[in-house]
Amino acid sequence: MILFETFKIATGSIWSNKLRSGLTMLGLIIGIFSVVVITTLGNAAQADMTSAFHKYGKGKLNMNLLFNGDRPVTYRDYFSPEDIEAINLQDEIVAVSPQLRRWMTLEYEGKEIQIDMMGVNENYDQVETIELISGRFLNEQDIVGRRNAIVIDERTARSLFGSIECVGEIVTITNSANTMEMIVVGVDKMSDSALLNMAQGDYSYGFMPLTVASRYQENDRYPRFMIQAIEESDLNNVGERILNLLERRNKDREIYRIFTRESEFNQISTVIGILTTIIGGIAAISLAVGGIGIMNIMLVSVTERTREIGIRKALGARRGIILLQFLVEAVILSVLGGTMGLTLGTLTSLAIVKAFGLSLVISVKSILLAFVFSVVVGVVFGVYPANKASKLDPIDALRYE
Amino acid sequence: MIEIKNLCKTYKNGSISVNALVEVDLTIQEGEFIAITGPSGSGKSTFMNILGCLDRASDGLYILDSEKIESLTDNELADIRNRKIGFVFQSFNLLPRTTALKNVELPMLYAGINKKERIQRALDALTRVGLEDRIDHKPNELSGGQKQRVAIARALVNNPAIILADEPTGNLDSKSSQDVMQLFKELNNEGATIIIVTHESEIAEQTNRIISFRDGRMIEDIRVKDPGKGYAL
Repeated sequence: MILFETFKIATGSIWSNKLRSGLTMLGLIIGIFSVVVITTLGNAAQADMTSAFHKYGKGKLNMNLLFNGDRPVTYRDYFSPEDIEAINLQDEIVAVSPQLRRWMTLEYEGKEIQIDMMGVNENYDQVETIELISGRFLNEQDIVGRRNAIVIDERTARSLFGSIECVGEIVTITNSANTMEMIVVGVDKMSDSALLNMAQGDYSYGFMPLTVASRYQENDRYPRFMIQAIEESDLNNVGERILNLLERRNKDREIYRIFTRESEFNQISTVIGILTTIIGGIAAISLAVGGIGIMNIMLVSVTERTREIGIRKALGARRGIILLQFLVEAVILSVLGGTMGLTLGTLTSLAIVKAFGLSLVISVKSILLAFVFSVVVGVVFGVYPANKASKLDPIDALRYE
Repeated sequence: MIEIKNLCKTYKNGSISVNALVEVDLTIQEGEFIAITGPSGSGKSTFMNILGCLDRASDGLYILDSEKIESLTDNELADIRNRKIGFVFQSFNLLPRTTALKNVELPMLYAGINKKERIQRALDALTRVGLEDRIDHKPNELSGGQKQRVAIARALVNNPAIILADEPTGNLDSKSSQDVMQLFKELNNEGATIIIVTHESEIAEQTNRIISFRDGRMIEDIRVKDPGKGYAL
């Protein structure tokens, strides 16, 4: 039927001018390629963030003292062990641990690294998401017995010992005047999130018993703690209730600050979203350029084939069929270009995503959208030249050299 | 089967009017073999364009095969060109990079005829003009005379009411010209109505009826008793 024949005429015309057709499509290919890569990478990053949040962020809340607030901090403001216990007894709290945090230098056989050491209690592995790939976490005996035990992170273990089998090794940690010999009892696995790992870079961290760390504290209380709430809790609510509790225990709620992992993750997520949109928008501009390229070439094509159009009309081709012929040609160019851009974009995204250790999310919706968009570009930018072709006067067209 | 009454064509260029055709009256029967002659600017090309439904008259009546042409829409005119008129042009006007067979199929494509029948009828037409062994040749692989014969095959293929040829031998050598005129005579003997527009008297003399134009008017309408015997114009 005539539509099929028109299609064949259009493909024949595209095929007989391969180089020109290829160059025309290039704009659209690059456009769709860019948009696909940007949005796919953006989505992959978001997915990574979301699963990282679920694993490492849900229900976690930190509270610490505001040292540069309206007034100086007093002894009373610090959290006592009894305060911690009272908080632990709250509903919705699964576990709580004070945190005594300090940068120290870790030394082993001449190698030195800066390490973020945190003094915590034996419940800390229920508060923070700790996954041990070697050894064990700090236990009650370590805390009560003030053992010089530490748990270090996987990256540090590999860089110091060359492997994660380092339980039992002795290392030295130093901080200004204090030096301690510690025995490694466990290694914490690197996070599953490629983005978090990238963000952390060379960051090293370790855990030691609270009771050992507090030896070097000025007082017997704690400036900071972390809680793990149950899955479905509203952290704002939980934070409020803790502040209320502290007030009942004669503390000034204004001196405390609350962080939730949730808000941190949300911030990052929002930034990723905004970046994706902006860069994606810029890439979309190249789509318009690609469409203009198609229109340009179609106009040239119409002029070149003026005589041919005259012949067809003289032989009985209606205006509509001439319009259709050129419109179909434009649409085929744009769909071909769009498909190639989509394929290249998806393959490139796959490669990039693998290189960073993220996971690829190919949504059928996006593919369909890119396809429909190609068709629309072809129609929008092809209709003007096609219309011009259809309006040619056959007598003039036949005389055209 | 062609009736033309008081046909006029006027071109307006700003405030200047040009009368290309003035009060043309003409009747053409089925099976006639006609030459339309006249110097440049006589209006013969304009008349041919209107006859071929490529252009519209400004005034007057044109009835082709019982259809009133003046009242037709553009799309209907296209259909008339497709079904009732077979064009043959001086510069052949075949589609380049396309085989002879596909060129001859083209009018049938626009008539909505299915592929199998199209190919068969195209083959028949090409055989009729003696080019059955050139069906896969493209125009750049054919001589001038062969190209014109392909064009004639193309003109025949929808069984038109008239075959309109505009200076069909203008780009041909004398041998090919004779071959083409011989083909036209044969087709006319088989019943085709053929109208040739030409300024060459040797060509016009080979027809049965010579209609002359000058300054937009029909000035002569002569039936030739002995075609080919040299009626001097």
